[in-house]
Amino acid sequence: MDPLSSVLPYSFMCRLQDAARPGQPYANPFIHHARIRGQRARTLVPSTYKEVERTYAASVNAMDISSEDGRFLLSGGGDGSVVIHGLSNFTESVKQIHPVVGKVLANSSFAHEFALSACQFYPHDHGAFTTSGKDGKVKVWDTRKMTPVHKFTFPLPVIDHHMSLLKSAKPLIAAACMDKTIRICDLRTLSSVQTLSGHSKPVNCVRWSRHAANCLASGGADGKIALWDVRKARSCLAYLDANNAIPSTDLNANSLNFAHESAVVSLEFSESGTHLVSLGADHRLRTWSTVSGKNTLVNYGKVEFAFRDLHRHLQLAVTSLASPDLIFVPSRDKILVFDMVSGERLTTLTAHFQQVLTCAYHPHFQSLFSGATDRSIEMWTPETDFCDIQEEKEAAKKYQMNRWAKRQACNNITATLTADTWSDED
Amino acid sequence: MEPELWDKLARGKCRSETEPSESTSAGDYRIKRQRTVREEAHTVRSSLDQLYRTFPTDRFSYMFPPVVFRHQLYSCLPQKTRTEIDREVNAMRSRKEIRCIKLGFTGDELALVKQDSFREHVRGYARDHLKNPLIIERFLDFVDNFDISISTNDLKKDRAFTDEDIQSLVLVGVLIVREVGTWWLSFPGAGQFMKTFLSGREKVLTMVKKAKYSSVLESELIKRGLPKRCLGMHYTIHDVIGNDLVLVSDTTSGRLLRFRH
Repeated sequence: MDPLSSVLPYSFMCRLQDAARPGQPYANPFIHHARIRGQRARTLVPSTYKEVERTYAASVNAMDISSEDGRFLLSGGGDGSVVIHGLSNFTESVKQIHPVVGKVLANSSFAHEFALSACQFYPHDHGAFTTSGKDGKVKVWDTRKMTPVHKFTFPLPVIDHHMSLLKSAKPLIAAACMDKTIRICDLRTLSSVQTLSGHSKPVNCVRWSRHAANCLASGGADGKIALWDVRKARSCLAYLDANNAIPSTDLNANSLNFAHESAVVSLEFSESGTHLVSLGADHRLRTWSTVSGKNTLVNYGKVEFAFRDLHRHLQLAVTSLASPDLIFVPSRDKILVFDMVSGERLTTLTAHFQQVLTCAYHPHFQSLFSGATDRSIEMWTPETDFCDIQEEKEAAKKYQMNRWAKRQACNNITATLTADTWSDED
Repeated sequence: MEPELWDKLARGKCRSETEPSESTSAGDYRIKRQRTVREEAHTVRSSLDQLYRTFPTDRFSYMFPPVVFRHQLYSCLPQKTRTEIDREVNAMRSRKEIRCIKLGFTGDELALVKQDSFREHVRGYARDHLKNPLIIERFLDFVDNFDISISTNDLKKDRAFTDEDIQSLVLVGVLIVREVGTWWLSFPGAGQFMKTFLSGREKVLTMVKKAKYSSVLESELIKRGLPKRCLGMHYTIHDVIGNDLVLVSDTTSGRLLRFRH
C-alpha cells in the first residue's frame, strides 16, 4: 500500500493516481473500486427490498450515519424526538426492515422541548451523540442509556451544530445560533468557551473543515459564508464572494462579500476537504475552492428552495469514497443529484410527498437516506443492488441469443453483398 | 479497374492530377475558412460579438452602450454547458476585455459591457454633463482594477478622489449606492436601459402566455417582432430562454417556448 494513502482522504488519493496514469483507469484497485462506487451511487432508486422502520409522528429534521462503522442511523424529529435505527441487522427473508434500536419519545423529559434542528454522532465512537434544538439547547447523549449527559443552554434557538470529523481536532462543538453568533462548546471542560460574531443575521449552518483542525465555515441568513480560525484573536479569516471580486485590503469592503443573494441554508465540505458546497435560498448551489477561497464557477442551474422562513438549515449530502464526487441536494419534494465537478444534473429522486429536509449518504452501501416533512425516512439503493438470480440468468441468455441472431443477420447481409452476380465465368 | 487508379483514388490524389495545383490550394483555403467560421460561431467571444453588433444603440440615440447579459449566452450556445460559459466569461473579465456590471434584481443577472465601449460611452456622457471631465479620465484609469463594486475607502485611498469628486461621479451615474461605504459600478443611462430591456421581456412573456396552449415557436415570435421602443426580438428571446423564464423544448421546426406557470 502506498504510504500516502494512509494520510490523504480516499477520493483525493484516487484522483491523484487517476491523473498520474491517464488511459489506464483500471490499473489501480483504488480507482477501480471508487469508480464502481461512483457508478452505483449515481443510479439510486427507491429501495425495493430494504426499508427503514416507521416511527415518526412529525417531520424528520436531521439525520446522521455513524461515520466509524456505518452501523447506525441517527435522526431527529420536528417534535423533539430522537430515534436510532440499526443498519446491520440482517434478516433471513429477502425483505429487510432496519429496526428502531433506540428512541427518545417527544413527551419524555429528556427530549428537546421544540423541534430538533441537527444531530450528529460523536465522530470517533457511536457511544455518544449530540443534538441541538429550537429550544436553544445543545445536548450530549449517552447512546446506550439514551439519556443526556450534559446540555449547553443558549438564549435563542440553535439552528445547526457540528463537530469536527478529524482525529487531530479537539472535541469542540460549533453551534450556529439565532442570535447571529457561533458558539464553540468544549466537551472537555463542558463549557461554552468562545463566541464568534461576524454575521449580521442569524447563522444557518456551520461545518468544521475536513483538513484544517481549527478552521470552520459558517453560512448566515445574510447570504455570507465566513471562514474562521478558532485559534486566532481576530478569528474571521475571510468572507467568500460569489463574483470572485478582487480582494480589497479594506476589511469593511471584505465584509461586503456575498456568497449568495439570499440566505445560505446549507454547507458541506467535500470528502477531500478541497471544496466547500453551499446551497442558498436564491436557488443556487455553489462550489468553493477551500485552497484559494474562490468560487469555482460551476453552474448547477436552478435548485428550488420553497420555504418562506429563511432561518433554517437543509442538510445536503456529499458522497465519500466514490470517484466522481456527487452532491445530493434536497429541493422541494425531490432530491437532485449533481456531479460536483462538471455541474451536470444526473438524476432527480422523487418519492417523498412533501418537502425534503435532510439527506445522509451511507459510504459503505452507497445508499442514501432522506427525511422529509411527510414523516417518513426513505431509503435509496443502487439500481443493481438486488436482482433475482433466475431473472439475471434469463436476461443473460436472452442477450446471448440476441447477439447470435444479429451476427447471423450480419453474415447473411455480407454474403448477399459480396456475392458475385455479374462477372462472367472467365 | 486498373490497379494504379485504385491506388490514386485511395490516396486522394486523383483530382490533383487533373487540376492545376494553384486552384487546389485556393480550394483548401476556402474550406479552411469555412471551417473556422463554423467553429467561431460556437465560441463565447463570437456570440458576444454578434450580440454587440446587432445591439440597436442608434435607435436609442446612444443613451447606453451595447450591453449583453451573461445568461443570454446560455441560450446562444446551447451546445456548451453553463459552467464552461461562466468560466470563459470570467477569463475574458480577468483579461480586462469586458466589464461586469450588476444590473437587475436577481444575483445572476450579470451585464457584460465591452471595455472600449464602456470607456467611450462614459467619456461622451461626461463631456456633455460634467464641468471637469478630467475626473472621469482619472476614474476610468482607477477603476480598471475593480469589478462590480468599489468601496469609498478604496476611492479615497492616497487621496485619489475627494468627496466632491465622488459626488460628481454619482451624478454622472458611474457609481450607484450599494450600502453605506460601498458602491456598485454602473454606466450612465443604466436606468433607461433597464426600462427598455424589462418592457421587452414582459412583452415576449405575455406573447408566450397568450399564445395557444401557452407555447410558441421561436421562429413564430421572430416573425411577430417587437415594437421599436424595445430591444431586438432575438436579444429578448435569448434573455427569456437563458434566464429560465420559459420552458424550452426542441422540435423539428426549431425551439418551442412554453410559459412557466
